[in-house]
Amino acid sequence: MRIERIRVGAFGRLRDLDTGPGPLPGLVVVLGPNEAGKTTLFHFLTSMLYGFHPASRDGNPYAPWDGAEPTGAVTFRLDGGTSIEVERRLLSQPSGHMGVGEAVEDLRNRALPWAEHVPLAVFRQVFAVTLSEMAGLDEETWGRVQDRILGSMGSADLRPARHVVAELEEEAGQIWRPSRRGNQRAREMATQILGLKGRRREAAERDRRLRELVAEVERVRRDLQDTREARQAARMGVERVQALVPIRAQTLRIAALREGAGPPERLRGMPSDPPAEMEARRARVRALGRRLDEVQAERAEPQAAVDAMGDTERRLLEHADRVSAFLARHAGLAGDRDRHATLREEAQDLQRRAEAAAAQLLTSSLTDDVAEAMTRIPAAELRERVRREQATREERRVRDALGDAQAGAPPSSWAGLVAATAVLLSGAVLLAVGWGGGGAAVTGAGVVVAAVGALLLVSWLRPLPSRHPGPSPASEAAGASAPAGVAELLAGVPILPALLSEPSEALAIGVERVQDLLRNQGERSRAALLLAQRVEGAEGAALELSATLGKGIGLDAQALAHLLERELRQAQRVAEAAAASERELRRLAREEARVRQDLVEAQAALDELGGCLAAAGGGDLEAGMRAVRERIQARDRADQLQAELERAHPDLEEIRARIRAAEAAGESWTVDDDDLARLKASVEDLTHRVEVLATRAEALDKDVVHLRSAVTVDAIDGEIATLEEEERALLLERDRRWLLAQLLKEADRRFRDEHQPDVLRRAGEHLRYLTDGRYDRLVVEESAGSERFHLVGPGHDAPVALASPISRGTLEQAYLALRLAIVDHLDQGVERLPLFLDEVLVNWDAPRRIRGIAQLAELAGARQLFVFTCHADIAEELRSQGALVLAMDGAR
Amino acid sequence: MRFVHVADVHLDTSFAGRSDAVRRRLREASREAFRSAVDLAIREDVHAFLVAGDLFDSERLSFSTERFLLEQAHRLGDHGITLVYATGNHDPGSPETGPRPLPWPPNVRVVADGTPHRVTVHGHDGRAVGHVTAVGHATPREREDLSRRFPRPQGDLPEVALLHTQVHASSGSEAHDVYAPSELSFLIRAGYDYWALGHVHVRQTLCDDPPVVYPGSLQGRTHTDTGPRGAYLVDLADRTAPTLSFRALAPVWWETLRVGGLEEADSLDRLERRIASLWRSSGSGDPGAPTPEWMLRVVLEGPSPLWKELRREEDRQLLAHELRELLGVLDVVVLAEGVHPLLPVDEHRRRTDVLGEALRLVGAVARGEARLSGVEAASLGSLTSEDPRALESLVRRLLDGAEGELAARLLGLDTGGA
Repeated sequence: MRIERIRVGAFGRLRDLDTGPGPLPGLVVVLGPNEAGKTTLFHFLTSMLYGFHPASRDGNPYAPWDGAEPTGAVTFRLDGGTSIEVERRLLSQPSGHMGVGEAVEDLRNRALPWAEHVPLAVFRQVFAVTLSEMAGLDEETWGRVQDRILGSMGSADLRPARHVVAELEEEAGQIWRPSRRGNQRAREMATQILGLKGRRREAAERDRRLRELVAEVERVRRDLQDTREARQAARMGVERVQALVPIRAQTLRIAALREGAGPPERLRGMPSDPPAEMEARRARVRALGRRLDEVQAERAEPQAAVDAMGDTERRLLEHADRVSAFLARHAGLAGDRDRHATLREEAQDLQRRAEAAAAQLLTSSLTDDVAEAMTRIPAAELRERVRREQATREERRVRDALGDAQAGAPPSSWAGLVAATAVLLSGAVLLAVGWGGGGAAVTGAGVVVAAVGALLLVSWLRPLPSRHPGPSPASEAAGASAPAGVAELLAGVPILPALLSEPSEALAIGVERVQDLLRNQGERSRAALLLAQRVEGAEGAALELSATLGKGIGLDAQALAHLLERELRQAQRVAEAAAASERELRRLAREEARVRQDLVEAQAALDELGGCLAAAGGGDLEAGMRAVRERIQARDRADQLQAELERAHPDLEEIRARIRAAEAAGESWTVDDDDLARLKASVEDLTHRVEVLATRAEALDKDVVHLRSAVTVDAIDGEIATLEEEERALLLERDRRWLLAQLLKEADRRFRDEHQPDVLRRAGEHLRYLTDGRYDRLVVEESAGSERFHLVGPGHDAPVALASPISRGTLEQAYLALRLAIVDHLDQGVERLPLFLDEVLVNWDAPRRIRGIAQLAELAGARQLFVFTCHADIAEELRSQGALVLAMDGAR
Repeated sequence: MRFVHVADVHLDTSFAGRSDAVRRRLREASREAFRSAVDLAIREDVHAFLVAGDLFDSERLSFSTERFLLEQAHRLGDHGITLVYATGNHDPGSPETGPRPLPWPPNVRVVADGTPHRVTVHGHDGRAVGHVTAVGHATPREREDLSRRFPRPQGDLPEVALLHTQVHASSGSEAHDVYAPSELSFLIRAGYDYWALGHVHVRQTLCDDPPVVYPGSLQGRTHTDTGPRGAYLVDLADRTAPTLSFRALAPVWWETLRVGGLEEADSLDRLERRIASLWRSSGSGDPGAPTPEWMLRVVLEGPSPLWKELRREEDRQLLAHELRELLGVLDVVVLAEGVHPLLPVDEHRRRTDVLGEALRLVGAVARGEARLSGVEAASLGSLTSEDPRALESLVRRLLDGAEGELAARLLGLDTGGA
């Protein structure tokens, strides 16, 4: 494959570059100073072959800064002669087309099919290694280059296989290795497992020991039980001696005492000290006799009080309610009399005042009939009728006055207006005075004057025809009917005619005045009458009460009241004393009866006890008293001993049963001290043994609990199984890494075996030519633990390591030879891709540079070469060998 | 005759677990399951309680477990239930290797050798209701077909055979060493109404007529013992139509959850949510269902952006801890051997460099088309067998998923370290 034409629209700093329609030759020199765009041109051609990488405009470093879209086209000529037109551009997405003859294929961003046999990374590294990458090669760097060239075929994205192998083996070795050298996690784990197995043996031993202990515990507990039973038997022997014998003796003593006391029923009711009891009973008889006498003497005083209650007191007390009522009524009688006199005087005064008022109105005196007639006059109605009649008269007088005024004065004169206003204001002043307290008359006059003023003002203001009104029919009618209405109301009352002819407020007021006085007089007269009746009734009742009580009729009510009040209080005191004395007499009677009964009973008890005691003594009271006292003492002693025994032995019934059982078994109740000592020693021995066994059992229990709480074999087996599982996982992980290392070693070896011989052969041929036969072969030999390139030549006895102190020129020649060999190897039999060489001849001496240029010119016959240089002399030398020089910055 | 059939109780077995608390819980779970089986027998008023071997691991039988066993036997005795116990390879009866003699109560019949013992089972009214013929293991390595020793049963009452054996072709038998092998066809023809078997931990009914039954282990012990575990309640009142009812009794269930499609889970939090979602959608982790305690193993597979973290043991443990809290299970184990980076391995395999060569070589070795020189049994710490097939099998296992890691290491991506 050759590049025949390059057209750059925009790419990095390149713009509108076109190599022209003439096809580029096999050897092309790109000449230009640093930063002229040589590297940019290399990346442009790479992009045309493989597409844009990165494939986004933002990420691609060769996207022009001015915003232009990266675009360009290249014409390729395949080895078979076919011409290919490739055009690519990078917008937001990359695009590309490939024209083969008439056919156009959408490439998008794919590599050209004829370049796919060389990955992009390999192309960049092997087909275009720059001088800078060759600069300052130390041994390590050179080693990496060799790895890249022969191990990775120049793939820069791969780490050296030997590094990865070392890393994997190191990691695997940290986990486990066949030898015991160094720290190994799996072996540490195995040590842990070994320790756990030791613990497992201990756990198994603990389990065995636990079973032994449990068996021993069971034995000890059986022994303990047997010993306790033996001790119980021995204790019973001691107990029989120590406890049952005294109890049995005590029981026998109690039985003897009860026998001496005789049958209990014969002592029932007997005092414990018969003489003392006899004396006590006698003393009680005497005391009761004395008390009876005292009670009888106490009756005299209350009896006298009862006798003091006579007939007079009884009569008074019988009528006590009436006396009390009389006294109560008498207390208010004087007040009633005073009030009656006052009311009568007020009634008379009112009567006189009514008659005087009536004299102002009536033509006759104020008789009862007239008074009755006056009280029936409806005062409000009378006042209303008087008011209407007055108004009618006033209106009539005004009309008359107006008629006179109009006849004498010109209409519409200002004097008329002034007069009307003055009358109206006068009326208003009178109204104000009347309302302010001047009385109804003043108010009425004010109304009349104001009405006249208003009429005058209206008539002045109205047109002439209207100022001559006649009297209205209504007014006339009212004026005619008013006196008749008043008179109608006052019919039957002899009113003075003058008052009736022109009724006025004074008439109405006078009638109301008389009515008020008559009403008040009537009320007081009725009240005085009621009081008089009440006083009269009280006095009658006093006379009747006096007669009932036999107090004579000579006493007035006042004296009678004083007498009755004093005697009633006296009678009440005597009655109260008599009642209290009667209660005391009843109490004394009961007391006397009770004492008398007690005396009878005490005497009977004394007689009964004396009889019993005398009987017990065979008729001799004293002897009987002694015998009874002794038997009672025997009984009490037996009871006391019995109580003591029960207190000391709550299980007395059980003890008695055991005693009875022992008696039934014929046990001896006569035990000597030796027997007792032997029994006690036996109990002590057995007790000691029980304690020892119990202590032993307790200790064994603790041991059993302790051992049962300890970790068991299965738990440790679980730990072991866990660790073994982890160990297996670790070993698998180790083996995996180690196996990967071996596999990678094998892959590396296979790859080198497959590719290295051909590459080395081809490199040797190139090297022989470039060095003019000084070196004719490149070999790979082990050096310092790793494989290294060595140079072999006829002038050297041994291979020369391709490393310092060999000259830089020789290094570069060997490197060029290797690159040429590798590219030939890589595209052997397929399309040969162009090779890009950057300043490859700079460090060569003159003879070798001449040979190098000749070599490149020869190689360019089979593979297109692009030589990038900033040295014009080298360019010229290559031009002389037929190269086309592309001068960057526009020169060709 | 009604009875409860249990097997492979493995009391005092050792449990491998991450924490002592979990191991302790699992040990207690075995006892709980056995106690529940006894409860079931009492509640259902059965006549017999059959144990088809491996009641305990004899070398580990602790004193407290002995006491527990005796206590449960007494409980059965108190309810008139006969316990027939045929020993297995884990609790053989020989004096050298078998269990120490226990003071069993009178209702217990232990058959600890190869001699058939015929036990008459009585009803609560004292009348015989059936017979159980049992053969036990005298040693831990019985190679003989013990089923051939069973006599031909005769009589009108139900006949039950009790044996710890590995029937050929039974499901899951490959996981067990071959002890006391037997043939299903012989068992079917032997004339018994019910074969009560033990040894294989997978519950299965090998034949319906007559029933030849493995109840499976009473309590699961490893992640291979998934699903409910328990006992069979059997009624042979009608010999022609026996009724079998499996009752789940194990308080702890084991389960494995395989989780692929990890590409979107780019944080441990999102990975947890994905696992939790899968667990709940599986029905096992339904929060509303009455679930047992779970021992969950999460197997992560395929490409994952978290492959570096998942390679680290401490990160896997953290994930397991958080899942345990999130899912409310007893324990979680996270395995991530099958997790690899998100790399275009197929594309890299086409490379003409050492990476492409290595990836192609992985495939060749895994397919047996290539061998790696220097890789032998002595150089592999995890290989204990000298068998070449074991070596090949191990190499294939180790290379499973290795392509991603190889590519990652050669491309210089962080591999997370050992």
